[in-house]
Amino acid sequence: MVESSAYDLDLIFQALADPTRRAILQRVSRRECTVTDVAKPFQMSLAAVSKHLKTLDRARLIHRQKRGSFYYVSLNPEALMSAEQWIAHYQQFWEGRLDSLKRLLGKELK
Amino acid sequence: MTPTDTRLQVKRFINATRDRVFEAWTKPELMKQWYAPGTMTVPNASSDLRVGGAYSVEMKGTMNGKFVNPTVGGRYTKIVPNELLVFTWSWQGDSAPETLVTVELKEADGGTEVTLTHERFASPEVRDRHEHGWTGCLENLASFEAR
Repeated sequence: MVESSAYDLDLIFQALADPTRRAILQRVSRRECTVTDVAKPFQMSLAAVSKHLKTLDRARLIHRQKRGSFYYVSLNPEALMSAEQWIAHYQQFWEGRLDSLKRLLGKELK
Repeated sequence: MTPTDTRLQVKRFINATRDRVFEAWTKPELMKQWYAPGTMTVPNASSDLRVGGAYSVEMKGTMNGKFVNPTVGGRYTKIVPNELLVFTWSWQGDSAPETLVTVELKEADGGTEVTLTHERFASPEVRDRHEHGWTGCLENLASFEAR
């Protein structure tokens, strides 16, 4: 009912489901990083980081750009926004539903 | 903007007993009275209250000036009477994967605190890590006009 964006929400949520990938996104949301920069705070191999970046890239959550001999990674906020729209939609839906439940039942305990 | 989690949570205090709130979530006659947003109504609701049992809520009315008639449904995956209800959530005719709703009821100040969590899982593997043993399949899906 809310899937209207140009982004693939399945891929996006799959990418976001992993805490390491969320941490990577957090890191590249502050500034553009090289792959080595991205890997720095994590206890894992460059190959493992590359795999996570690939998943993020497939979901279009990041931009990857080659300049010289380095790849630079940055956040694609638009893709993240489409996920946030899903969350916001249901946030609003459930706030409304629980208010209406509260109204329905609230009159009873008197 | 910071990276988001894949779930949302809403809490409400409701001035009614836990068993009454639980009934409102699981008895079709009561579900009909609060489930539809805005001016929409619920002409049909069903609930087969057992693990693996199906529920559905048909909504009807206008949304953003357009007539819509969507049905949401799924299966119960965990039931603790008057305490906890976990069910899958999916709109009929929507290609989006099903999601998971958890409703927790706690006694508070002579009423009930409701905590609702709605999570979106991208893949069955992720969902199964949370809820194993669920093997449901949805009925034939009718299409409805999304807004």
